[in-house]
Order: sequence, then C-alpha cells, then structure tokens
Amino acid sequence: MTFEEKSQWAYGFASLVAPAAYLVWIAGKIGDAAAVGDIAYVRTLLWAIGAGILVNSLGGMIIRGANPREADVRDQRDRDIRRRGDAVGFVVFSILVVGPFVLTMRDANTFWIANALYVAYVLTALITVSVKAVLYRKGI
Amino acid sequence: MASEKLDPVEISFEEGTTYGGLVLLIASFLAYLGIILTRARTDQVPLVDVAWRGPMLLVVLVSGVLYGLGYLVARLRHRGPAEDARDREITRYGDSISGALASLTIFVTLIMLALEVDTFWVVHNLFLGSGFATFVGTAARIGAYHEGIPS
Repeated sequence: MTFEEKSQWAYGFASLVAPAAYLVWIAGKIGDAAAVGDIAYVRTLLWAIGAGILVNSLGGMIIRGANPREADVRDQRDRDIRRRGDAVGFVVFSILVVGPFVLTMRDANTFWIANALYVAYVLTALITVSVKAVLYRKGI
Repeated sequence: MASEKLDPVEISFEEGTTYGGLVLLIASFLAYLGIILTRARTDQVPLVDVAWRGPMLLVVLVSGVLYGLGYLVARLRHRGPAEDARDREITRYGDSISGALASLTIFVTLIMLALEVDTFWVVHNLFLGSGFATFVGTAARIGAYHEGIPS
C-alpha cells in the first residue's frame, strides 16, 4: 500500500466513526424532543466535525511515524486515483447540495439545513474514499 | 512552450463547451450581482434585506437551461466523437479541483450555520462558493488544454 492509499483509509475511517457517533446521538435526541428546533445540536455537531479532523490527523501521524521514509511520497498512479476520486466526489456533492440549498431557500429550520449539509459532506467523503479504495484494488 | 501549443482552429468539442461554460458562468454571476445591487439601491434597503430568492433561482435555472441547450446544439452540429481520453482526463482534473473547493465551501457553510449567521450570508456563501469552485475547476481545465495537466 502506498502512503496515499493508507492516508485515504485513515480519512475514510475518520469520515465513518465521528459521523456515526453523531448520528446515534442525534437520532436519540430527535426521538425525545418535542420539536427539532429545541435540540441543542450545534456544540455536538462542531465536536463531531472536530473529532473527524482529529482522527484523520492522528491517522496521518501514525502512518508517517510507522514508515517515515515513505511519508508524503506520491507517484503518478496516486495522483490519477486521487483525481478520479475527487472528480466523482464533486459530482456527488453537486447533486447532494441541492437538498440543503432548497431547504435554505424555503427558510426551513436551521436544524434541518445544518444536518442535511453535514450528511452531504459526510456522504461525499465516504463515496470519494470508496471510489479511491476500489481504484487502488481494481486498477484504473 | 510555443511548439506545444495547440492550433487554435483545432480545439476539441469538449474544449469548446468548456469555454462556453466559463463565459456563461461569469455572465450569470454578473447578472445576479447586477440585479441584487440594483434592487438594494432602488429600494433603499441594506443588502441583506434584498429579495434575493427569485433572482437566485432564476439565474440558476436560466444558466442551467442555457448550458444544456447550448451543449445539445453544439453536440448535434458536431461530427464525430465528442471526447477522447485526453478530454476525459482534463475534465477529471478540473472536477477534482472543484471538488476540493466545494468541500471547503460546505465546511464553511456548516460553521456559519452552527454560529447562526444570517440566512442571507449562509445561502450566498453556498451559492458563491459552489460557483467559485466551478469557476476555478473550469479555468484549470482551460489551462490544462493549453499547457497540459501539471503532475
């Protein structure tokens, strides 16, 4: 596995764990609350975003530490796969962002806008990473 | 290098539509800006209180339809295959740049929402950020047609 492939796995792991924890938490809150407008989600959402970044950087540090000579070395194949994955991610994002965009236009509750946006962000990350993982396995 | 430059007459179909898209993107941005600024001035209201929803929807829909129609007409007039491996590679290169900027936009928007910033700014950050991401990606594609994809 190249450095870039390992980094993508770390990013995928971070994009899965933090949002999953947030999802479990928010699902319980939605079940309990009378109105979603009452849910104090902001602090937890920011924590989930921060935790995702933290896990990702920790993963990066471990990967660099485990094999310092290989750190930040990328070849043409890494770049091609990164570009293909990111290109797919942009298309996915363009489609998913319509949801929060329409919600905002209609002045929906900020709770739904923020969470729809977070879902779009997480799904884009997960799909991008999955595409890259498949490309690494099966070739371009 | 001058010797590597393409003959301007022989641009590919995809390169032509890329230019068209860029012009359309800039035109729709300027049109939107013009409408909003004019409304703010003639109605004597602060920018955040302008009725922006109608113009924004209009600009998004009109530019989308115009691009679709323009692409369709160009495709029907064009003989032969629309794209080759080089076109596809350049498109992916541009989209990967747009993708990075777009995720940055989402990120900023999320934080703005969390801090309860006025809806006007949240939407405009999303709208202009997505537009900017597309703009930079398209400009990078045009650059790649002339200079090649930087490795």
